[in-house]
Amino acid sequence: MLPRTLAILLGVAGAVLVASSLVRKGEAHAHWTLRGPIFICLGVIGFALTIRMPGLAVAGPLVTIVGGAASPETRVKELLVFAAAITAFCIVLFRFILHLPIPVLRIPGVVVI
Amino acid sequence: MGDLLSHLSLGFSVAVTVQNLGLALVGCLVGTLIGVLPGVGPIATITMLLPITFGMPPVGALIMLAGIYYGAQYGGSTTAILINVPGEVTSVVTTLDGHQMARQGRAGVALGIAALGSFFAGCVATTIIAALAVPLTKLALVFGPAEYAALMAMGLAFAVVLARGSILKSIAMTIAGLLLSTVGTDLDTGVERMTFGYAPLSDGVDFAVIAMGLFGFAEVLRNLDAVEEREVVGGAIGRLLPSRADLRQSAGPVVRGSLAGAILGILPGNGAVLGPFASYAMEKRLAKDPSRFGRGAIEGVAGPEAANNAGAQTSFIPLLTLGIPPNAVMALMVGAMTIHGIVPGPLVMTRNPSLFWGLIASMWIGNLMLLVINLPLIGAWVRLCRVPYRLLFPSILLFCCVGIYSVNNSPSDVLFTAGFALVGYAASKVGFESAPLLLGFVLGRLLEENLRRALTIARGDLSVFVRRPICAALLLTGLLVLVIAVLPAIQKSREEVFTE
Repeated sequence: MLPRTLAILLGVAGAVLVASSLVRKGEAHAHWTLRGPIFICLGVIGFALTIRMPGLAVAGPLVTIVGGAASPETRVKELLVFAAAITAFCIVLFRFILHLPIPVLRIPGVVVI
Repeated sequence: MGDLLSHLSLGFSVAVTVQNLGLALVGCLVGTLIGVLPGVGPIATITMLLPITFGMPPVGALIMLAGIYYGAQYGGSTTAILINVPGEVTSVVTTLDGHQMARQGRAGVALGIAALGSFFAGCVATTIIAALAVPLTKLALVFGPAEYAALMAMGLAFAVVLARGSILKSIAMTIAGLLLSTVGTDLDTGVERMTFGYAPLSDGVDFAVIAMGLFGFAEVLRNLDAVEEREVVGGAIGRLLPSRADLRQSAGPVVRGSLAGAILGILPGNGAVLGPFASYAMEKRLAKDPSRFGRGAIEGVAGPEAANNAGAQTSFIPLLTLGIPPNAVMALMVGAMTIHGIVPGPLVMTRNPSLFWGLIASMWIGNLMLLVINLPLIGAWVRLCRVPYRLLFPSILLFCCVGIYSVNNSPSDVLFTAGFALVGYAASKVGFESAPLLLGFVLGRLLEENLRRALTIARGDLSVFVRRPICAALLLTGLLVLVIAVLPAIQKSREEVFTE
């Protein structure tokens, strides 16, 4: 019962907002850019797909580099070096100091860390 | 009084063990760090660090997480003063006069008075929590499910009013949050609701996923849009210790700010964010020469800084005594407590007295540590402000990903988080605030549970909510707050408060 009531209330609120937007003149929309959302989402999706296998050693640089491309100010060389450094830092901190069960590098039959 | 002292001494005996002191220090350092760095807030950080606390004893875990929260309030003021960018929402007001002081070469004094004011406020708030805890817990024990439900409804009403922007939009966001909280298996009947037969949804949506999406990733997206203009005040910071005249000028504002912040912080529905605004408005009205405000008046730094720190601490009161988290950070504390099998609420004090009083004592110790961390080390924090955002945000992304993955060791959580990030980003673009959604989600399950219990006891009779006096009073207060906020006159001044 609660979900249905809430859904109806939400629908009503939305309808009122749409109706009032037609009547009243509001501020102009802020500037939309697609570069940020696209690269950040790609980076995060890449992380989700690679974290189980082959692990953080690949997923870390992936999200840092792909996500890092979201900003127009990014410099390629700097970002590459930085990605390696911050991934190494994360591996040491989370896996070896804090002992979280994060796969670092897992290639079946070759290496499992 | 004797009771209070014995409770506090129990608390200090817990808080001064080497491990707990160390954890408080770590919490305060991390808190200051994220407060200084724009774009990382306490919500994302605590979510990130939650998996690390799994292996800690519960007292230590809570001490560290609490340290992060109030440490961020200290750190946030540093960036507000030096680079005119509020590190946290609660330090927005500090930018007005704090940054002006910095431009006039009085950056050191502004930082000094902010830290001293915050420390004083921390002391006041710790005392208030210790003094109020016992009576409020007794009150909580007379509360039935109907009162709990009413209290939460009131909290949501406050959250709606305190959010920025259109009231209708924040109502819509609150309802969306409540709706999201009903996803998953119904605990009483076992029916799956809104899962579309998709198995990972049958446990409901994880709070960490929503919090990290809306406040971790979406924040990065919002910051990328903002053109980077951070002018760090160059040159010397100047002397840190305020002169005697400065102190005399700020004493009143600090005391008033501490009290206002502490009282607002207790309100369910994130009253703590209102503290600095209230304090600033109050000082401006009380001042002999209001035109000084906005041009580097020390009162405009001292009062709001005291208020935000006091509010951050007293917002623990609803959580510790009633078991109701007043804001998202406190909801994460609930998570940290339930992981260790502690149910937040009035029973914490009697069943886990060492945890309860230890946490409170650690807050005072933490405030002392922050004073020490902040003042002499200010140079180091300033240098951190200069880390360019193009390097900062990829690191935030990576840390968030690792954190969210570690909560349940689940890659699909990471994907969900990205989804919520897009939703949060798009919503903020069209003027919907994320905070009410998160609070609605946090309170949703508790609200439904108590609503259901109240109705079961009353055999489905809805009038139970009006017949019980406390319950009716709470609901009326909530309604009144909403009505007042919609009145045109108040709406205008509300806009002024937020734009100022």
